[in-house]
Amino acid sequence: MLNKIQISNKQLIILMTGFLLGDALIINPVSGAGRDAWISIILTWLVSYILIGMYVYIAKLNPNKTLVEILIDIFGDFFGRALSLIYIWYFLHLSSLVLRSYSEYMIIANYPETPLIYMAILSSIPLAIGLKYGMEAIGRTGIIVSLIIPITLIISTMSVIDHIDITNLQPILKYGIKPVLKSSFNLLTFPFGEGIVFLMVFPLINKKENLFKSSFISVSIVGVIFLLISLRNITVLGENILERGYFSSHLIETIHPGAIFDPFISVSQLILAALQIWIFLYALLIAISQMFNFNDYKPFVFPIVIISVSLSHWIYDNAPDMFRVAKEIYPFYAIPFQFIIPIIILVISLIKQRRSKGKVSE
Amino acid sequence: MFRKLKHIFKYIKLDKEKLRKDKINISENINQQIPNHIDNIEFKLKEIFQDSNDFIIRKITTGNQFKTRILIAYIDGLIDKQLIDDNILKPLLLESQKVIDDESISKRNIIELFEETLITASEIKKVDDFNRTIKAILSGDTVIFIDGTESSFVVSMRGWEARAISEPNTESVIRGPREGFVETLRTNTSMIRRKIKNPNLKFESIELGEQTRTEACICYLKGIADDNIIRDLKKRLSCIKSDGILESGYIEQFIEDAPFSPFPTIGVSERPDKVAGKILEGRIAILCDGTPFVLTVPYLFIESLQSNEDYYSRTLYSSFNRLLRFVSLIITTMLPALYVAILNFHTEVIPVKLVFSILNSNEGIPFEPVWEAIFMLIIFELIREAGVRMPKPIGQTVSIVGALVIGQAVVEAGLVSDIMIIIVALTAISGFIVPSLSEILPFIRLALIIGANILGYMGIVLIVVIVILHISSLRSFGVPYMSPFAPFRSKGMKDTLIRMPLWTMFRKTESLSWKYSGRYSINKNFNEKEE
Repeated sequence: MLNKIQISNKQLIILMTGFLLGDALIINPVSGAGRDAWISIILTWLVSYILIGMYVYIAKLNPNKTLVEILIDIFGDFFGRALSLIYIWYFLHLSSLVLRSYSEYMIIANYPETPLIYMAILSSIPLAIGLKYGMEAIGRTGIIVSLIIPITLIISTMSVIDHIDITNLQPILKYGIKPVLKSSFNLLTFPFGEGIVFLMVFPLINKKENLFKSSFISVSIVGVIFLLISLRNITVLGENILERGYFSSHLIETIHPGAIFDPFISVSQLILAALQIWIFLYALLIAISQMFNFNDYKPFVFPIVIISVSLSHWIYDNAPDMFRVAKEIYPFYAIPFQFIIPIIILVISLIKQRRSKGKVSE
Repeated sequence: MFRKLKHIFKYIKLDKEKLRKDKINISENINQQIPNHIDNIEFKLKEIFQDSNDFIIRKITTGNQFKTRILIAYIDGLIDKQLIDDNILKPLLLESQKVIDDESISKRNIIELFEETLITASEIKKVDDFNRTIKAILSGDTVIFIDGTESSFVVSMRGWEARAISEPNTESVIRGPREGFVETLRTNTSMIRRKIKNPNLKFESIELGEQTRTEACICYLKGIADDNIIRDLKKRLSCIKSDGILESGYIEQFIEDAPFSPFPTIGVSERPDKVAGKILEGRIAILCDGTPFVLTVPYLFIESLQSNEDYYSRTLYSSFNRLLRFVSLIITTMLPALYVAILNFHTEVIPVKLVFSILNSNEGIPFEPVWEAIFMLIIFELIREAGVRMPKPIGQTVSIVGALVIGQAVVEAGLVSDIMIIIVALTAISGFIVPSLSEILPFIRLALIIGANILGYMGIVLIVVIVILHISSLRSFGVPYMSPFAPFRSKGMKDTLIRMPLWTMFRKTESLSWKYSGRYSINKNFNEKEE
């Protein structure tokens, strides 16, 4: 099943870019740094090349293997499967986090009278249909629908360009370097570290020699977009307003009512969130079917989507809770999934590779 | 749900097969010898064609000393009687007396004598199988049986009343050839052959339909068309089990990739120039006897926005037309839904002055916008269908009733707002710009309106994402349906939303290589599909 489906490198770039942008645009993990957010974005951007590079390197060391297969390969049958179970939980949790933050955004910004669960259920219909059609259709759809994202960015930036005030950036580093580093770490764990999920998708790519190139291209695009949006929001809104509001992109519209691009932002938000949830759920489904040795993941699509929707309703009490968890708890919760286990995998596969090379040379 | 439908479908198929086995099957493909004696032949033929008064047997005797009895069989109405008189009867009755008397002829070489010196028809075939002669008679050939021999001649003297070549009604152009396909297969193949004078243009014929035995024909340019697609197509055609094939639509429904999808995965055209163009692009045409509509596979989504006239008129204008079609596709699917969404959820998007006029026109109307929209679209579909089925003389009544009575009276009666009338009219006009998508438009419009009523523009986006997911998952004969867009191929983009100049698309200088020269490389992504 896995070998039939193929994704081109262009589609990988689109998927990865959409995935990394995802709900980070909604929640804005660097808001702790205030007006110095752009510094922490630049810092994280540089570090994220190393992090994403590590994930791609793991994929290169274990060609044509998904994360579950790699784990079973390295930690043995029992521990490998146990670790994959943990990752399955992680992916499920992340997918419902994204679904929750997206529906929360929609409720607060556009449909204040609609119940939250209703929004989540309706948005999950295309998700389930897309997963039924498979990753190939999702990749192609990504290429078509992602056209709206640059359009939205350009329109929304152009419409507020005369409100930009560079002095909002000053004084630089007023509170010292500590909050900057902290939000840097937040940003590293929040969208970039979640790239670990692509270890489930890499086996589908048809030209594996370009993996580094295409993932670095998408990391670059994501960095540029983050920087641009962050600078725009800081210069237009100023630190004070930025700290008080939830969704900075939405705030711009409410403060400067001349610019009616709210629908565009919501639509691009939907598409980004959909790409992110698709990848999480796809990875989850593949992990389940590989862990229990099923040939096909399609029977699990609807159950998993339903679980994810209901989980998204339970995980937070309300939106402030969501922001608190995303900024204060999640970064530490993510450390084992994003750093510790991948580093162990990398070290062990490097040792294995060296051993097998040594055997060949003997 | 679809799986269940599939099961039901399978059971129906099985039942049909059982029924078919019970029927008396005349299409035995066993080789049957032609009887030696001419009376036996006559008896057998009369037994087969019992009770059919259009079957005609003519018995003659030739020669002076060596009298040879000859039997000519044909079906009246399928042959040209003048040709038979001139080319068969006259030589056999008049000339044969000289020829046969001149030399002493044994019965063994009388066949060669007939073939080489007597019968003046140009197309003549010697056939030894009795079943094949019957097939030949049924398809309009004349068969000559000779007494004392075990073979017969099939002479092609076909001639029946056929429609003259005329301009097709379905795809009219301002600039371009005025001819369209007709109902006769041979005429249609000749029209394609006249456009592509190349020995690599192949016509492979197949017989479809167990009772109708319709002749169909696969047409492709060898070396340009992908062999895998040809193989796949032949496999699917050989799987057709049906009593009758009356139109190419039957074939289409048997071999298409997604029978339950609203999107067509097989192209249909009535114009030889269009079909020839598609064959040059590496596609395969399926011609079917008895219909002017020719199928082309593989069919991509972008083809429904293309027209043959785009290539005849100049680049700038045809690119403008392409964009116009794309915009009209968006208008015709989205406009009613957008109106519903804006009125229900997002009135802040409309400029203030317009808000007042819209509110004015909506005042006193008892229905919600969504019901107005669905009501007007149903009326539009009714008028459209009535216009097609109506006899021409009373066709005008429909337009009067539709335009004046419904258009005016509905607004005056306060059932529908006049802005809704404008929107439905725009929707209808834009729908006529993309006629090849007319099958899918009602479904998508309805889905979008319902989505817009539930969740505003977000509902529209959700439905659009579902539709895009669906069409990107489709394949037509192994080729991705959204091909030049997704999977994205920059080479194919030259001929999509804009049409680049012809000299950038066709590499005319490379006349040596018959291999595919890169215009939508549809060959690459083929996966063997199982039927």
